[in-house]
Amino acid sequence: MKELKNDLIIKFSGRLDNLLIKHKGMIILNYNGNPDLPEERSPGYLKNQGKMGVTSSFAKAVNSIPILKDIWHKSYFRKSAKTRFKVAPYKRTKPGKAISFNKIVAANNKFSGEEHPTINNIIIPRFTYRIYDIRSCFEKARN
Amino acid sequence: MKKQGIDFTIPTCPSFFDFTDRENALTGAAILCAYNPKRRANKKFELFSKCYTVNDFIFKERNDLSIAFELEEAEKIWKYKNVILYFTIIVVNDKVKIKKWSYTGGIELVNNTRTGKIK
Repeated sequence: MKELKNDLIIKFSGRLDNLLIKHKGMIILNYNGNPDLPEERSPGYLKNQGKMGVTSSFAKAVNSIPILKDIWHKSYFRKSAKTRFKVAPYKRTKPGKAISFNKIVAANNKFSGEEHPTINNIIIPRFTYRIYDIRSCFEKARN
Repeated sequence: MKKQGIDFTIPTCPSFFDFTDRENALTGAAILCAYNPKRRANKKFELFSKCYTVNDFIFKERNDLSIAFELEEAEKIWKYKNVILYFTIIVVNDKVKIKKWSYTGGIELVNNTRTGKIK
């Protein structure tokens, strides 16, 4: 093996996140990502993080009630028509592999606020055949 | 809504739920979300889960029920100005099989500290 006496020039192209070059135990180059990239998270990212945290707490509370957990587990929740469960509801035979917690999160994330759950969050999937509204039962609580 | 809990009424069958003779157990499940803290030091929101099953539910009669708060829960809830109540009623038959449930959106209640009541 020959020892190079001239400078060694190596060109890297493409995207590079981390690079560490060591020679005889000595670190020659320690490159940690592109320094031009901003370290601060974008407002959209922070908003989504906040919503996700709220939804997780909400899902945990719903999941703590065994009967609700059971209903969610057996539900045929469709996250999006484009992505999951492309099979038509009447053709489905199994509720899917997703656990109840994930189904609750998927159903509620779009309704959650950045700081707290909203009035639109749901604790139970929509009933397939008949929909009851029991808000009238709570008129006494409001008056 | 009172400091001790939330009172509600289930009307008689068939005006509300269509019960059959085999459907005799009723479970009420509630999540309470208290938010908008009165003091900044408090958490932004807190969640409380409640669940109770009434066996041998008489669906031919009007039923006045209540979701009772424990003392510790009540103290925590009253630290916040707003409360959202998520509530559902689940009907279970004699073979302990879930038959149907109500779908209800959240109900927003505001804590009016002057009168000590929630509107």
